[in-house]
Amino acid sequence: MHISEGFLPPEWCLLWYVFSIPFIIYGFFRIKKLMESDPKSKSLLAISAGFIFVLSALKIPSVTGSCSHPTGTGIAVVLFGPVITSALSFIVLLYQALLLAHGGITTLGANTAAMGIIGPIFGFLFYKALKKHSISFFAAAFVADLATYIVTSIQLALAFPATEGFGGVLTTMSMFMGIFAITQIPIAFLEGLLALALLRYVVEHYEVVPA
Amino acid sequence: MIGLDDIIEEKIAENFQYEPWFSPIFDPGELEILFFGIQAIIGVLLLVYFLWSSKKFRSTREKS
Repeated sequence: MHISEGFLPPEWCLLWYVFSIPFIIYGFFRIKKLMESDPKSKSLLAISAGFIFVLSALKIPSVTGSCSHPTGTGIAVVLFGPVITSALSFIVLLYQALLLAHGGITTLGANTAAMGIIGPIFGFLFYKALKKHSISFFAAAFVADLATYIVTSIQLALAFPATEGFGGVLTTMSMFMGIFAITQIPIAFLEGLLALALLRYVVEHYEVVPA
Repeated sequence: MIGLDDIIEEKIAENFQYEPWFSPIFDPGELEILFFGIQAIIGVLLLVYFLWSSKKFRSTREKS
């Protein structure tokens, strides 16, 4: 789920662009440096981007009759951290905004902030905290996915508070989070399992040291 | 099947009487499935590239 075209007031669109652009630029800069210094990184970037492309193209139904999609950022979070994840997510979000009317150009900054930056930062923090445990790969993907939807709820709540003040923001946030939770928790769980399997393969067969 | 995006759009319109101030530049309409398919194919090609290069990496390592 991304915030649709025109569904954030202009001032919020601008604010989220200002927030996201430095991460995206630095992310592309890091990708360029990495590809120049380590030829092996090309294939790892390919699997990271490929995972985001494939998973965010899947529409998975839920018990409520609605459908949503995974974010696919888990592999990039573990292999490269949140900065490079922001650039890879931006590419996918731009494709969807331009060709699928999914998300939007006006909301691209906000959607990149949620899916490409803040979600992955939380995933990365959980991954680092649990790095010595076998659950760390799963946790990175699961948390990055769920945090994306929590951030989206916060973005919408800040733009559309139910009443003036912090209480109004909390009311709207809990409304949106309630809608997201039913669909997204099972999807995040599946995404975590898939990322765990793929990352184990990558680490074992490709002699990769995760971020 | 209704997407989460549609549910959220409805909630915003209902609860906050909000009208979007900008419309998508390009609406794929019935071609949506085609563009989602192309997105998935791009992803699969990237994953295949990884598998191919990891196989190459392993065979180089085994030879040395």
